[in-house]
Amino acid sequence: MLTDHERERYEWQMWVPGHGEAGQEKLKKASVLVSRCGGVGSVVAYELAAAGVGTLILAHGGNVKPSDLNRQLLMTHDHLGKPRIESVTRRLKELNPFLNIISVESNITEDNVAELVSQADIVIDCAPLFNERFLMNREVVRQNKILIENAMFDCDAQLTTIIPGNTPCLSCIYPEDPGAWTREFPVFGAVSGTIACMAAMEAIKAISGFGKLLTNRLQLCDLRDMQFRTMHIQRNPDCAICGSHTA
Amino acid sequence: MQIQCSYMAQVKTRAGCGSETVDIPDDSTVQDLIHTIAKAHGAALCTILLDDQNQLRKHILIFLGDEQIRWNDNTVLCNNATITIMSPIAGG
Repeated sequence: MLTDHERERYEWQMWVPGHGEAGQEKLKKASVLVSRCGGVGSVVAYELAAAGVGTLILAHGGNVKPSDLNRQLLMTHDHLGKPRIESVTRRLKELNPFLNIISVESNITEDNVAELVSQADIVIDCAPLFNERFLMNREVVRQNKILIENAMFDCDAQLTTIIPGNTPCLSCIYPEDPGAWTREFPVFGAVSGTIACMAAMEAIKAISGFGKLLTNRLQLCDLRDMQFRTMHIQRNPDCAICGSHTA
Repeated sequence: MQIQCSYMAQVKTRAGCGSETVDIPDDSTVQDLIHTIAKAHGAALCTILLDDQNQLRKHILIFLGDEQIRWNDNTVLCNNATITIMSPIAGG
């Protein structure tokens, strides 16, 4: 049940056909895990906080560095050298003090992934390393949760929504850890923010229940030349993670 | 025949262009095309596309038009086909 304040706060988005007050109540009850809260994850978390997702589980280790500040929009100059997750939590609470935020001062690891995924209805993968992405993918398949997979490099970005048993999982798409990927990559915040907003919208749709999810399709965005293409992707029946998983 | 090739992510960086037209003999397959591209652009691109057995690395995605195709299917290409080659990205 929404409060009077919430009806006022979310009035304009409740006008969206298919969403309405019933959809807003679903957002209020929902729990979303975002890891990490960098260039992509900061904007994902900010959009979900603005939209009124009730519980955000946010995982991000380390302290704010100057090189974070061109894109990690929940980090601030005055928080340099201090824990990133503190800056993230503070900024989100400034925007929406009614949120329930579960802050984890750590990145996704083998030790915490099962517990963190278990607390969420939806996981949004914003990690800069494939080992973290594969951990979340494995756990989402095990626990039958939705995973919104989004990433960027340079001026390119991609997005797909993974529903175990119905769509390719991350290991179907990439059956092995790509050795050539490195933690540091060329990035404008406007590129990471673009794909982050699209990922947040997938989460909102999945929770509220309107629109068509980006399943079995990979959205490719080339912001250098402003080209957007939607590719059809396939499950791998021999996938080591989801090959035996049925919907 | 001519194939319209688009590159994404690190493939684009290493190819030095986002797209190009590649000439290959009629009835060539996608494997022929990838080997031609890898040879034309040299080691920087070749190493990201192919392993030491000259097979496509498993994490490289290939699309014919908008459809994903598998390396082992060795799809025969038609003149003016559009192929997209993409390496994995994880920027977050």
